[in-house]
Amino acid sequence: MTSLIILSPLIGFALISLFLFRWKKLCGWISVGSLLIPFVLIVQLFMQMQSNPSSFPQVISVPWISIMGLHFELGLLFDQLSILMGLLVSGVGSLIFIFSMGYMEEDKGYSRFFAYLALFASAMLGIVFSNNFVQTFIFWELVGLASYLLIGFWFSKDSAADASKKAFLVNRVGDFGFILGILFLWFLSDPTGVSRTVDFAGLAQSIPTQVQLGVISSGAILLAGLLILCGVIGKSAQLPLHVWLPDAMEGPTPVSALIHAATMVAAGVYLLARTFFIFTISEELLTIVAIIGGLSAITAATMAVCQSDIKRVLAFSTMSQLGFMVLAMGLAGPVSGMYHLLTHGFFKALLFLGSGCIIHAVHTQNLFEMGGLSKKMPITTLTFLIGTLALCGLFPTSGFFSKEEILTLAHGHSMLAFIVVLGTTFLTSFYMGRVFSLTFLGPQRKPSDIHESPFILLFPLIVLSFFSIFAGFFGIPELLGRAAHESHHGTEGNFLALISTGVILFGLISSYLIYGRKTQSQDPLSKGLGPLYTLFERKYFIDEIYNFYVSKIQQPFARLCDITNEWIAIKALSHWTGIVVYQVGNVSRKLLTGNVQTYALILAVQIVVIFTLVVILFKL
Amino acid sequence: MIPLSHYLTVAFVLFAIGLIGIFTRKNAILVLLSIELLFNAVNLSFVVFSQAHGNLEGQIVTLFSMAIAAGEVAIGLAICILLFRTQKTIDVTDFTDLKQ
Amino acid sequence: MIDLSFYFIAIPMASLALMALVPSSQLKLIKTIAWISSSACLALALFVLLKLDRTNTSFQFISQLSWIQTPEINLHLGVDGINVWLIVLTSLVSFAGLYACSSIQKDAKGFYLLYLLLTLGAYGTFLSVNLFFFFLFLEIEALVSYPLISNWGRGEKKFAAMQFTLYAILASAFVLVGLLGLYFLPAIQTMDMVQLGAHLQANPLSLALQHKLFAFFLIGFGILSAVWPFHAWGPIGYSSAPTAGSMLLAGVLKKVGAYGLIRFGLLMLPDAAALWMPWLALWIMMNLVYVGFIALAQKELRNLIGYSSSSHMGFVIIGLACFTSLGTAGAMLVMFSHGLLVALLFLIAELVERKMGTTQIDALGGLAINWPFTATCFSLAALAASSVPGFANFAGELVILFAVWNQYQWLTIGVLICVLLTAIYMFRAIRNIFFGPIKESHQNTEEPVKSLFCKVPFLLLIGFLLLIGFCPTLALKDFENGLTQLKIIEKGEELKTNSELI
Repeated sequence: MTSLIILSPLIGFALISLFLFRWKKLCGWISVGSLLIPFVLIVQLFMQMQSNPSSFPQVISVPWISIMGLHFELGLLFDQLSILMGLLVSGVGSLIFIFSMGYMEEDKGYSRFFAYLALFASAMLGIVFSNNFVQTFIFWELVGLASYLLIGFWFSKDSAADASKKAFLVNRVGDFGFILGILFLWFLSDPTGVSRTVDFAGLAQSIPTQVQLGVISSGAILLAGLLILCGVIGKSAQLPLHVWLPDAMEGPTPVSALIHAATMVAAGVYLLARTFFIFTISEELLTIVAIIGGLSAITAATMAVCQSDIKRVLAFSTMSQLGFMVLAMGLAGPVSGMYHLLTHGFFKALLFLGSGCIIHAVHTQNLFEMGGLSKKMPITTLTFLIGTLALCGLFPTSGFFSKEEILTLAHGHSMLAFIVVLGTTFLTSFYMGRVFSLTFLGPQRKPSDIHESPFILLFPLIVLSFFSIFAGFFGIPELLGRAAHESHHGTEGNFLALISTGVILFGLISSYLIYGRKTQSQDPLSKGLGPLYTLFERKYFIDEIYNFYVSKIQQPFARLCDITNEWIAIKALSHWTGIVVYQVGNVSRKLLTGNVQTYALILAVQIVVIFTLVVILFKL
Repeated sequence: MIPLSHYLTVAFVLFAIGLIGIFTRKNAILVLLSIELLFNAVNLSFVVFSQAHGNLEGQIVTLFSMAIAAGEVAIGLAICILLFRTQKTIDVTDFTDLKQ
Repeated sequence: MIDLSFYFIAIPMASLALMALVPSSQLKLIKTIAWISSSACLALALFVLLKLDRTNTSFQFISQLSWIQTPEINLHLGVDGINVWLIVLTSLVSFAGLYACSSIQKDAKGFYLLYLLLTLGAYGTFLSVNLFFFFLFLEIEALVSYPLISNWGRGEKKFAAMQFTLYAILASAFVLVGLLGLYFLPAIQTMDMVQLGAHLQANPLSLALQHKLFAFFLIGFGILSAVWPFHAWGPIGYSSAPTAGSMLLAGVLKKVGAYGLIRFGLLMLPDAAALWMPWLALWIMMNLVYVGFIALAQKELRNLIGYSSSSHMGFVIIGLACFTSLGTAGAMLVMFSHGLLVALLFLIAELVERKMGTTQIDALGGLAINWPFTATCFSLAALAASSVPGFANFAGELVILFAVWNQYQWLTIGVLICVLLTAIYMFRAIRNIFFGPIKESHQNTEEPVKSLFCKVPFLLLIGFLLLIGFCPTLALKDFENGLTQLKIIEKGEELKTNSELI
């Protein structure tokens, strides 16, 4: 029954793509329904977990490949982590599906869209409830596939087709490291080869004991962890494999909300939480994780400040917030990281859906063409404001609580980490304030009749706003398994809260002062920051570096291989052997003079030679 | 008694003369003549070996060989005559139709 | 004695005879005969697949017709765990190949005759238990490709046909020497693979002899399996061959190489094989990485598919090079899925050429807008080739990855580089051919696959890819059964204790 959690959306996908293509509305409802079923099941499990916590974690599994020493199974692991994440995925997912029913109404590929969405939901739930590395990898790739299909949904646009290809290939590069890490961990789980496993529970048992016993070195764990980290970097768009995320905004906005904000990109962080038992073994590993997270957070925030496309701002914001989560993991705070993941899921989805409503209304994504929408679209404005404040982390939104945890971790770790987090917080509130001001405040720049969105689009916004505000009071860290005495409140906590609130307010006010009052056609920051602005806006030229690599290094190398192949395999082996054979024949032709006596001479010589050889070889 | 090797040497010399004749003579009839020399050399060896082994097998083969040589000469000369009729020459080096 | 396996040979032969009698003007009748023959063989193959007794590890459905007493040359055919899926592959590919034949107008009768002969050769090679007939059917495949390519091909067809056939004959020459060695050298002289195998298990040949024989088999079957440096004759042949021909040649003939390596190299000469395998694994890195990069540089669709195919055979060979039943099973799974993939890709290339007149990737674009079904099929095939889970290729490669890691640890990086490269050029192909806006010159083409009848080969091929992708155990169990008779498992474990661990 609980296997329906993964099977239900998959069945939905199969039904839509094979049979029900023609009936658009039905496809939409089937898709939504196929995600609501898992949601209900997970809620049930959640209730069970609350009333009877000792019966968890539970595992059910079915063998998939079981031959000659290799046993892979497909299983469902129910524990606090997976159930909460599952609630996020299916809950927020269902809301976004409902939103899509209104948003994609006029699109020709409506059924195709919902089929892909169902596929994505199935694969994402597969990652969440996976109980072993191989299953995670399988659904990891499938989620990447769904992302590819959805980013390239409008495939007749060159930009969308390129973006989808880029997303998949960058993810593949991360997966290269990921699968190597899985293989290595499988090997390390038992170097003698008797009882190797890819099961999370099995690895959690065997690897720490092996390290303690000295059977495997912590250097090996460092390497394995780094390889697994490759997959995380690819999926969660951290530096340096982040380049696909801004381009992924080519997909329809619900896709950006679901996949590239709330769930898929969070899968990397989720994996870090799931496999945290590996990362705690090595100090250097945690430091590297933290550095990557922190660096991504702050660079993404700087890039977000200078973008003029609303979705791109949100994309970099996602990258930055994911950086926070990864940083939290690296600072040995997996619960804090997951807490932020869950709250971020709510308010980021809210912000993206809100931007979807805006785009739907004004038909542009350029911030400098919007303005004054607060008068015409009040509900959207209010919900977007709630989302903004939650993202900035202002008390008492959910974002405040989760961000405080991370700030506290950073403060407890080092001055550098604290400055990074605080700086990113400032930048976050600055660019979000900038977005809000340019979009909703000030004079209306696009003179067209703008009206509030229909209820089907507003309903998810309202629900998500509710969660964005109140999720901080649900006691999520306790639900994630933190014991009560570890909670981080206290005078130090309050002091840090005051500092961060001050920083946030400073960011919001300064952005309002710069952007919220009069019309700008061009970003005033571009004059203020000068070359720094170009650096941020062009995303530190990293895309250019990758393009350079592909066009000037990889392709010429491939051409080189092709040319050497021409010479070796084709010319040398085939043509030239042919020519050699032909020339040998040409020379041998001279023997056939047509003169009978020559033939007789050759015959006689042959006989003599053969006779001699026979005598020598057989020693007669 | 005359040792075996003496006879074989004679036969060998005859054979060699015959071979050289085949390779070097230009007149077709002289080539045929050289082939006859080869036959003679071989017949001599057979008879000699028959004497050495003390049985008649070699001499029987010699008789066969002489009969076959006669037949072969007849055909060879017939070919020479036909060649002369069509090509107006029996110089062996003139027949090069098989040249590549 | 005659059993089901005989009909795989009898049906094509009977159809050949029938077709030869039909006058060449009756094209419809000829096509119908070809169809019936292919469908019958397909049905038979699926039936055999279902009815195979999984508890019995020896050959089943055995047919034996004696011909010559000494040396014992008799038509001995049988089905076991190793070749049953290859038979299914052959039947699927030959069935799908008929769809690609409709553009053959000139001398069509000759084409269909040769096509049937090619499928006959393929079935025979896989089913043969007798060494002589194995070689005979192999030669049939090699020789039939010459008239097929040189008469009905495209581009530099005469040159490509000559090169292709000469390479195939060269390969079979090496194989012949090996087979003769296997017949004459052991103490008993038998052409029966089963008896020979059992005898060589009990009293193996001396190591020196094994080395020499194995070298011949390795070179011969290696040429057939597109091992570097013999990887280029395939792509050149496939781009010049008629599509139905290239589907069979790429889908099936390449697999004969690996199949032969398993049957003769691994099973009968295990001691020599155990010593050669690590070097083979290293050597095949050239295939995986170098040929992968060559594929990356191709600008023409058929060349891309051909070099990709050569590169993917690297997976198969490295699976064999692990010399454990795990690796070999993974290799066989990849063989099966790769054959299906390549047939699918060539079929779509044929459609593209027919409608657009070109297969140059730069000249195409935006085809998915008007061709939804074809675009979906191509994307599915490309996804399968890039090892996306859900398809059989992924399952096979996963098994191979674990097997290779077990034996050779960090050589797995080469395998993964190939996977990455495949994704790059396959996705680039999808992007450049099917996505993006339509080029102005191509405005009015409509979906080439319209009726359900035309969709059948795609559904069949993709269906099997998905079926084995979801439940790879179906096939893996059969491979395991086929390999349990052999000393492979112990040899592989020996190798492992000798290799370095971290």
